This record gives sequence, C-alpha cells and structure tokens, in this order.
Amino acid sequence: MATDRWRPHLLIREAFKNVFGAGSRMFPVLALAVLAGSGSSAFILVETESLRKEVQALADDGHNVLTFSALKPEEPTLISRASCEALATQSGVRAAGVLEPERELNVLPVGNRLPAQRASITLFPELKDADLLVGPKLSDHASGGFVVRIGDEPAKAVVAEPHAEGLGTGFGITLPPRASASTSEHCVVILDPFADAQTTRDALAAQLHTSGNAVTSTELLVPTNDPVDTYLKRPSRWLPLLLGALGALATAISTRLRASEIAVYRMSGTSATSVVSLLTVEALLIAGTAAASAATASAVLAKGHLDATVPVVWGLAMAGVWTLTSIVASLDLAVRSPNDLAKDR
Amino acid sequence: MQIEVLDAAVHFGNRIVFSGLTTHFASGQVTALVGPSGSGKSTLLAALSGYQSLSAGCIEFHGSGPAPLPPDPSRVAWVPQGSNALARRSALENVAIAPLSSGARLSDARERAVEALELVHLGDRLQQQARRLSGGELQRLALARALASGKELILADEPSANLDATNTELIAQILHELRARATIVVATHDPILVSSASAAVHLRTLENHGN
Repeated sequence: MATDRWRPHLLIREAFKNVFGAGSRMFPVLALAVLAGSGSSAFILVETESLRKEVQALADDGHNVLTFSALKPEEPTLISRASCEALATQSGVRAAGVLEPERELNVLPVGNRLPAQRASITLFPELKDADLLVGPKLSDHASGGFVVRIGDEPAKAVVAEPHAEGLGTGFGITLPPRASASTSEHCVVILDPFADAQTTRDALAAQLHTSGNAVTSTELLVPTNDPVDTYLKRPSRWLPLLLGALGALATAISTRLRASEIAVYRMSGTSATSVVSLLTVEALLIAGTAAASAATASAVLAKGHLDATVPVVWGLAMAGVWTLTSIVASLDLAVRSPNDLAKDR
Repeated sequence: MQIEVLDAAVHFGNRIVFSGLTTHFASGQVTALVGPSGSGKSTLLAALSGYQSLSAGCIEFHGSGPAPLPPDPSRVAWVPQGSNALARRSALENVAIAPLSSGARLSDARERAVEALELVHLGDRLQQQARRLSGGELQRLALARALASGKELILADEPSANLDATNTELIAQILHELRARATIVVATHDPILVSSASAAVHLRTLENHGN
C-alpha cells in the first residue's frame, strides 16, 4: 500500500477545516450533532420529570413512609424518642420522629372534636414556628400563622404542609410532643422518594433504642409496580444510541457526497491510510460535537436531572456509536481507486 | 524519469482492455495517449500509476537509480478529468494539499502552492474558493496541484474535457512549459493537446475486445 508523509497535526488541521471551516459541507451534519446531543439530554430530562412526578405521587400516597412499632401487638415496646428523631439526620431520610394519637380537641374557630395527634418537630418541621398545625382541609388560611383558642388558651397555628396520606396532618390537629415524653410506641420515618425502603429499613431499625420487645416496620403504601424499575427498563433509554446511528448514517452520506473531494486527497499523494485517519478525525469532531452538546445541555439542565452525569454518559455512548459507524460506512471511500472516486460527483 | 511498458495487458474477466502493449514514455517531454473511447487510455494511466495491476507484461520506471522500479502511486501526480477540488477551500489550500501529503511544513507547502499557481497563471486567484473558479481554471488548479507535489510523473486524464479552445490552448501551453519538471502523459482526444505534445502513443480498439 502506498504511503505518504502527512504530519499528524497538519492532517488534524485539515480535518478541522473540513468540518468547521467557513462554508463547510459538513455543517448540516454538525447542526444535527448539536440537535442530537442537546435533544437526547432534554429527552432524558422529560422522562426523568415524568418519573419524578410518578414517584412523588406515590410518596404523597405513603410510599417510602415507614412506621416502626412493636412486632407483635400483644408484646408492646417503647421506642426512645431521641433515637427516633436522630434518624432524621441519616442519609436517605427526609424526616423522622415520634407520632402519637391525642384525644379530640376543640380548636376555635377551626372546629370542635377534631382528631388530634402529637408529633416530633423533626417529623413536621413547620411545628417549629407554631404551637399546633391545622390540617389544610380544615382551614382557609393559605399560609402564615394565625391565632386559635384551645379551650381558653390562645395558641399560634399554622396550616400543615402537604404530607403523605395516612400521616394524619390533612384533616386533624398536630401538636408537638409533651416535653416529658421520652418514649413512644410509634416512630415514623419519611424516606427520600427515590430511596429503597427494603434495603434501608433494617439499618434504621437497628439504630432505634427500644425497651423490650422487637420492632418491625410497615410502609404506608406498597406500590404494585415500581416506577423506577419501569424507568430503568424502558426501551426509549436506547434513543441516544439510535440517534448516534442515524447521525453516523447522515455523516456517511455527507462524506459520500464529498467523494470527489476525497479523490483530491488521494490524487495529491495522500495514502488510503491517511484518508481513513482524516475521515476518522472528522467523525470524531462531529461526534465530539454531539457529546459536547449533550454535556452542555446537561449542565444547563442539571437541576432537572436526577443525576446530570447520566445524559453525559449517554452522550458519550452516542458519540461512540456515531464515530465507529460512520468510519465503517466510509471505509470503502479510502480504498477505492482515486480515478473512480474522481468520477463520483 | 523514463517509463517502459513491456508486452502489457489488462483483462477484466473475458474482456481484454488492451494486450501486447509495448511502448515508452520519455522523460522531459509531454506524451499524448490517444485512441477512441474504450481503447484503454484511462486503464493504462491507472496501470502507470500503480492503481491497476497488469494481467500480463510489466511497467518499469527508469530514474536516477541503477535498477528499474515498478509503478508506485506515491511517485505519481494525477490530474483527473473534470473539476475535482475542495469546493469551499481556497485555491491555495487546494494546491497545498499535495506538498503537505509529502511531509512539507505548512509554510513550505504554501510557498510551493503559490509558485505552482503562478506557473499555471492563477497567481491572482490564491484566496478564491475553488467553487468560484471556471472549468478551465479548475483544470489548471489540478495541474498546479500536480506540480506542487514535486512528483516525477504527471498523468493527466482528458484535461481539456469540456473546455473551449482558448482554455485548451492555455492547458497545452502550460503542459509544454512544465515538461522539464516531470514526465507528463496526457490521455486525450483533443487535437490541440495532441499537436502540442512531443510524442504520441496511439491505442486502437481491436475487433475482438482488445488493442
């Protein structure tokens, strides 16, 4: 096979000019690379957002809300309040604290004989700024504190923030625990929506200080299907690779339309090996543009992604498919006779 | 460099493109390769360049070394028929590719490209994009590229195709001026180029598929 003596940096410069030079014939493919890269990142964001909404809806219904209590009702146990509230600082835990039922209360002007409960501030942090929480379905107050009366005593109330169904904050009154209460029969832990309750619950239970009998945990809602699992197995996750293959096809077609230009290199003494190198660098520049676009879009949209490195990794995979496929699809151009290439117009 | 073609033949399956061809192309002159379409002019050029293997016979390059050499694409500059060029690149960049491929530095390649473009009367079009050049100018651009390559053998395939008489005469004049720089073989039908050549090799189509 004939050889040449191209200096590598000048061959790279040649590829750079062919791809990015003014009026480059590869501009449509470059535009496609930008669209494919940023589009794949945006598509992953849209899918992530959909997943986030599904997971949040499940969390609102009680998914990933664990209640620790006695394993057997006939063998009660008391859980240390301090150890329960300490779970709030654990990784993967949003809030934790004791939760005890309380006798019904008359709270004016909210209503009479309202269901009530006592809960740790670490479980419902909005209790920090008030004497009690009023369920949002009991009050017209949108936000901020307001004064109520419990019996003859005035008290500062705030409307409870939205919490999972089943935690009792929607339709009732929530008070802080009594100062003297150092134990409770129930410890509630609200996990991050994406945490895995199955693997977390045993570790959390081990950190609770209990008196006597064993504790177990129940989840307020156990979903019949796992949206995270469905998300991870979705067929559309391969879209970036498909875009890479389509981009490679477009690149190969554009390169073929430049066959007479490839002939110029060959007829000027450029060897088939150097033409393959030239086309490889061109493909890397185009696919690299796609990967860079994916990375840039991921940085811009980082807040929306669960993990901003995911679309970057997919962008790199797309670039890999793009590069390899377009090189393979253009190899014959390098080995064809220059005279034949010159006749392709 | 002188080229000897000895009893050469090229067959494509049952089809004989040419056979029993013995001739030589002398150095320092322009040789016209003439013959009707299908007589094997382009195939012989491809064989001289090393891109087409012979079915029989041999081709020898006699240069400064003691032993003859076989055809080698790296020794040949090819001027194709038509207007092959990097359309969006300047004339200077189009020509500089040739010296760059032989290992020249960028500045040296540019110098050689400028010199070659001036020799083909395109010195005033250095920065012009190739797509803005006329057919005749593109053909001269291809000649400039061949010149700038510094190769000892220039093969031109129908360099006057689609050109008017004025441009053809200009090409003939340039080829004549360049003969001292390389051995030049021109496949052509054009009487202007044939008459300006130093010698001519005639290929004939035989009735039974060959010459």
